[in-house]
Amino acid sequence: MAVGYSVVGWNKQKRVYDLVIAGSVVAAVGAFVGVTARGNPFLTAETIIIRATALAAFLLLHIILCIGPLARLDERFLPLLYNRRHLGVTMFLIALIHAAFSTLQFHGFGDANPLVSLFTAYASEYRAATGLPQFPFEIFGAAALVILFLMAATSHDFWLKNLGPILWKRLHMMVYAAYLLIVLHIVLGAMQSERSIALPALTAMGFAVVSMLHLAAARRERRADRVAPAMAQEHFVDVCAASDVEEGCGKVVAADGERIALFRHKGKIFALSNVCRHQGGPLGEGRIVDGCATCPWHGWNYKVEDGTSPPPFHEIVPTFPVRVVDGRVQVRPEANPLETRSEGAEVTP
Amino acid sequence: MKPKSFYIGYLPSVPREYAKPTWVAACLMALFLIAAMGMLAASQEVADAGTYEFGVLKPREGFLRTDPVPMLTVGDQRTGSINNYLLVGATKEGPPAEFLARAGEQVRFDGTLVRRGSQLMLEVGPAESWQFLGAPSSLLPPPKQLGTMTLRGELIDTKCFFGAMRPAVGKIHRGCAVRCLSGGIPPALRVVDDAGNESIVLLAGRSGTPAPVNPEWAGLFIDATGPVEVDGNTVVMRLDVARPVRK
Repeated sequence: MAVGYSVVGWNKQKRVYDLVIAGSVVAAVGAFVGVTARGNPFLTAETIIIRATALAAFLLLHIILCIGPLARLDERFLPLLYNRRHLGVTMFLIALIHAAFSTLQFHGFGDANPLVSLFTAYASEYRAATGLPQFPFEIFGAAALVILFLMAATSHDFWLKNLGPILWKRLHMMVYAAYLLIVLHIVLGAMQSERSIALPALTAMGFAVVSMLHLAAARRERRADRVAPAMAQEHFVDVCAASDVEEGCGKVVAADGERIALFRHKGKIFALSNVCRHQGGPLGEGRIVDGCATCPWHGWNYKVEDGTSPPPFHEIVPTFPVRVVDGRVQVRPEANPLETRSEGAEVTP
Repeated sequence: MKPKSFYIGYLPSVPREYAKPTWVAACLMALFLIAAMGMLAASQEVADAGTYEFGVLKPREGFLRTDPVPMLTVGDQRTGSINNYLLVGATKEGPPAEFLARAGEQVRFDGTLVRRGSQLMLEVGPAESWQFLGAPSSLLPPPKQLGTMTLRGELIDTKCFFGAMRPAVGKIHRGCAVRCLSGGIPPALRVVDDAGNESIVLLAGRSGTPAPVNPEWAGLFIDATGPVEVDGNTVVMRLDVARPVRK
């Protein structure tokens, strides 16, 4: 957490993360160039750059999309998630090199503006003159690049704060639209020119892995939501046994469709909204650090008693009425007004 | 699996419980990236040979023609053969109009070679190098007429195909081919027979006019009909009619 903004809040973790990204990308592009130079000597340098950057960006996007559900399934992968935006910006810059070289190579130096040519060079195909395989593929790549640019440009917390977490999150969820656009770009572009099975197979495999990881993460969350209320009394909903919430730890429970973060601190149970104000992270999967509920995604803190962030921060999450009856935790799923103080529910041994 | 320790990204160190699986995952991801890139590189279609002496200007001399397309005809006294070099500009354009205005003369100029096998092309260099030497002393032999044919093949732009870009066919290259044809690069038909043998048939109009093809058809298969002739090292169709077809 930080009060002011810096371009990057560098620490050792970030440096190592970025070095691993840079090393992997350089090695992967090097492998592509090396193998191509050996087996395909007549390919021009521009073509090699266009292809290497296209594939590096596409493969990196798969890794980016897999990190989220991977960290949801096993929180030991959270360090991969914490600096994911560095991976995203790297991927965008590689895609930008691909787009710039492609536009200049294929649409530049001619009798039309390259950007106009990009969308109109064979515009008659928009009317499906010769069928889907000839439909212009460039438009899908350009649309994906616009989305990736918006995401890269707003990846900093400055934009998160100024756009608001909901709009920011929606904008960044468009990565899935970008992914589908890129798949279309490849299916209608490169796959129409290459006869090898490698690219279609890898694309299909990538799609399957990304889909399966997301489904597995969604199933896990749904299972948690389905820990159904055993009884409802005075609008309180029974959510779990008090012993399920370990001292110093959080637990996500669901009450009437509302995800609530339970924390046990100094022998008392507290209930907060499960949605971190930063990026909507699962607060209940966090821990108590210095007396504060701490989000596992980026370490944002909230005091368990009233949901406010410790000074000088201003973020607040709502608290929920909570009680412990016969060793069972009961929560009322209507949130308290912001900053409502709760004494917590004493857990009797 | 819930670790005992807790990870906070803005702290300088990562708990060991998190560090190990994270490193394993990062290494696997890096290996996947490198292996996938290597595999995809190995699976690429092998681009055809071609030469583009980009930036290399050499003196050229021959007979300047605009029919069937702008070309420089050079006789080889040693073998008695005739080589036609298609003429183009420095980018995706035909040669300068002032240069072509001297068609019918022997010319000398600096040019950049583009070559794919027996298919030859020259980029016309700067105007300072142009020398017009008047009408040639001998006439060219007439082309050999092969009769009217209908041929099916991919519509290509000759500059990229001869070597300026490799590869220069198919969907990916289509936008570039459109720009080349639209800019005045001579079009051609790439005909591949059942045995896989490739022939390049230059497309021209009647009497030095451009071939009546829509540049947007570049990269598509077309049926082209017209009289075909062999002119030195080039095969030319005087295109009467063309239409795109499914492969």
